[in-house]
Amino acid sequence: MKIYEYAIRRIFLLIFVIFGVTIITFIFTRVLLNPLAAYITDKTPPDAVIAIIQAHGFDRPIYEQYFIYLKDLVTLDWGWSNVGHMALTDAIRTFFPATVELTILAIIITVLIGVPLGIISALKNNKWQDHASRIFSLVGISIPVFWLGLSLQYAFTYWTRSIGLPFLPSTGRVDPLLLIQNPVQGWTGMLMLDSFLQGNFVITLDVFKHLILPAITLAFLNVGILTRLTRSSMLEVIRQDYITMAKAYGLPRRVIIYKYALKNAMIPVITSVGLIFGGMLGGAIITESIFSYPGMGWLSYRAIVFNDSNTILAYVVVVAIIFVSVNLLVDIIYAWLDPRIKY
Amino acid sequence: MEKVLEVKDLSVQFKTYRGIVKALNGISFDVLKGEMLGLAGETGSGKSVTSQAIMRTLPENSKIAGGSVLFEGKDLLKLTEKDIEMVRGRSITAVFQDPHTYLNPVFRIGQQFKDILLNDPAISSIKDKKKREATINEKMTQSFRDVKMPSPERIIRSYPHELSGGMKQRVLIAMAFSLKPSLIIADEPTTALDVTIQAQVLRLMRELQKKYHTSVVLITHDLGVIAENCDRIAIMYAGRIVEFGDVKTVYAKPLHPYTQGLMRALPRADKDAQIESIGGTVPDLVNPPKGCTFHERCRNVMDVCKTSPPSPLFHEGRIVECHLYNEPLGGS
Amino acid sequence: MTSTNRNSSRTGSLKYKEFRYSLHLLFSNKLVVFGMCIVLFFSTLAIIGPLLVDPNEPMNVNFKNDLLPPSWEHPFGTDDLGRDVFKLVILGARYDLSISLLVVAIAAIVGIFVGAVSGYVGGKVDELFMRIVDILFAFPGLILAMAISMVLGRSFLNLFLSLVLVWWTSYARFMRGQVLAEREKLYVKASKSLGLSNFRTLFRHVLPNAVFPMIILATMDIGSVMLSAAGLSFIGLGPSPFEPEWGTLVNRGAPYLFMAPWLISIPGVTILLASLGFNLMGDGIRDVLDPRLRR
Repeated sequence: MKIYEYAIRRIFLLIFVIFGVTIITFIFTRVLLNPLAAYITDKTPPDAVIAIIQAHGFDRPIYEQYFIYLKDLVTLDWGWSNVGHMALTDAIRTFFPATVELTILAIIITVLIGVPLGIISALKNNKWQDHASRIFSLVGISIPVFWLGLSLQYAFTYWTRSIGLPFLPSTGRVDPLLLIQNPVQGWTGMLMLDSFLQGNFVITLDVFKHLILPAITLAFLNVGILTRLTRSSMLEVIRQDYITMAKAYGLPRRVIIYKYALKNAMIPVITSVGLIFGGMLGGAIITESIFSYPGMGWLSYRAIVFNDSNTILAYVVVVAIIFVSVNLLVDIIYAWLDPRIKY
Repeated sequence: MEKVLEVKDLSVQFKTYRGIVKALNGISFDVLKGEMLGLAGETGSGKSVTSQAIMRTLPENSKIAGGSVLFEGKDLLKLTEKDIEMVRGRSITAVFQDPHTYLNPVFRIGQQFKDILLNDPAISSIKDKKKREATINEKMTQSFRDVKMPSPERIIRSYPHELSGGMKQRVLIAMAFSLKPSLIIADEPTTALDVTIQAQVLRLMRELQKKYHTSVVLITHDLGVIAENCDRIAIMYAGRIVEFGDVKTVYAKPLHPYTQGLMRALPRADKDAQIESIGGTVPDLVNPPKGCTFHERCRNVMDVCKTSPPSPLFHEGRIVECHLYNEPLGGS
Repeated sequence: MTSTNRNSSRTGSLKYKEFRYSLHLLFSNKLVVFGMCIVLFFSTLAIIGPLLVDPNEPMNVNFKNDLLPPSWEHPFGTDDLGRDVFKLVILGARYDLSISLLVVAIAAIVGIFVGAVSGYVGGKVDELFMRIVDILFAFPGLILAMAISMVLGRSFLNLFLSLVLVWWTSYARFMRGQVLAEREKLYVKASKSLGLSNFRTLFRHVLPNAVFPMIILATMDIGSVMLSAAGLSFIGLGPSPFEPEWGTLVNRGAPYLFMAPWLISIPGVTILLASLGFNLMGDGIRDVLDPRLRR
């Protein structure tokens, strides 16, 4: 079977899974919780309520309501976000790019540290480098993200400042005054990318300063996960017969490790990056709440505090759809990398 | 004749949770230029360890406890990791048991072959990229013709899983001979193949060996294969070589009781003699029996066998390690 | 008959030897022993904690004593309600340990059951269960747990339920894979031909073989369940402030980060230590039970 046929089949599966996802979120929003909450605010006049009930079919049988819910989802009629003070779709358009930017930076940090560390650990198996990296990654997967975030915040925004060292901003996404002086056009909504593309490097640097601590916080656990995974994958590969054979046929160690073993070892690692990405979209809630970083995670945190379940469930739908799409992409990359795969 | 490889008193030990496994206990043999030497023995007798020790590809929990491996005048055991890399592939190379696991599944055959050919200074020193690629391609095609592969261009573009076992083994043989090494160690090269293909593959190796005057150490547990293909035979038992000599001499009159047992276990067409197996099992190499390691299974066991290990003797045109031949003819 | 008996007793003693050797390996690894000590320490605290310190400390609100730094009287200081952090942390062990152990245990049992039935029965049942699992896998774990506990409402029990609902799927998938693999093996077919019922075949033959890898998976999960539970508590989906779960303590302390850092660092380090203990232990058990990693 050709790879595109495999991709098409996987996309059909994806559509099915997204249907399943919407059934679950439908049950949450319209069955278990008050469906009206999303469409009514304090300012809604009482006589408009009946019209809203009819428009969204809250008086119809459950199965009909599901299709109305799907229609609302597709037509982007998602209702109102109380904590965002705007329509939910606008809230996602405003806040989600910030989360994506944070997540991408965190993924980059995770891969740049986790993969090399795992490789070193495997190549120096049972030497001090291995022990050090194993302990580091074990601590990484054992550390509570919120505690790490708060500690980093304390150390680099408060403590370094108090002893006169350079310090980082403790909260927010960008210095608002700086942004007024150096305005950035919202192309993608990712401020660091936009400002960079527009040559506005003052803002790029400032956004980076705001991003670095949240990104490290978000990445830390995943560095641990990825290091361990790379290590065990690499150990497994360098024990394989084809590595012995490459040795016996006189290939230099450099070529054996970095060309032959690495490609084999990276295949499972790439799969896990998709999972890590999903985990980060969840972890963003904790991280963004600590650093008051105005992304979807922060908005969700406020939604928890103010009991605004609609905002959370909107984020849940978005995250689930993105997550399954990323995993689909990863599976296709996997199939492309590993010629043995049976489609 | 000129000796290509000379193994002297080689001992290898493995550290395991049960204790030290004495996998090789002072084995000595040599390989002559252009000959095919058969290394025979049961599983666990130390055949593969011997090949790993020569290639310096022993696992990490092992230790070379003594001896030397002389190859073209150099002791391979004393070379640095960098220097042994220069020997592997160019001067000594290996053909392995299971062709399915010895080719990297995620690279095309051509890619893997190319990297092996780049070991050859004559090829890697070609500066012009186009010319180098052309030389490599020509060389690959030539090697595949040598092993009688039907369409080299197609093989070069294939992934290993697209080829059959026999094809893969031919690819490995083509790779092994491509740099014209002086020694090839073939570790059970046909065990994982169908019987019909086994014969073809062995014939192929024999042809290429004659063509390029390569020496081959053929490791196998199949005495029939050795009888058909090899010039000399070394029989291993529990980490020692118990009998070593010309195939014709040894097969005509095996001296060591273990060799005799192995011969009796061979199916024979000419006689109605029953196939006999050797009783007992291979001894535990953590606590090897005192004296001769074979005495517990030996038919001709004597008192001396239980207390002192035999030393190698030159007897009736071969080297044999057995007390039976000690008394009447005297020492070496 | 006698010969089979002798054989089985020999393999029995071999298995025993293997087991003793495994234990030996486990206890010869210093890090694993360290992890076990941590786990033992916190387990003891969880059991006898209320005997060591006043179990009513969470209710002991005293605004006159709020935010006191560590001292002899209050070794870990006091929180914004004037409660002794040292006592709260000791009492919290019960909450964090019980939730992580219970979530893993219940999720594993549910997962094993669903996975086993799904793998063994196959057909439509399998299809249904696995599609449900697929759909639940479409949500990143923390997000789903958050949504569920949001819908259910804030309480310790709901936190537990939401984590179970998220965690059982991976066990189900794993168990199903194990059952499918084991089912193919000859001995299951053989026992079928001997006329054993499906149910007995499943439980007598398949379970014991699949159980070891499940134990590894479960031990490795305890630490991360503990972190997830604490994380959800931290964002406000945990129990009330009068139940001194460690994540809840950090949540309460967070506004006082620069004024009273001990409110965060003490429970934070406690969670780190406890989950590290479980992870060290899980790592060790995996290394020992997985023969491929044994060197």
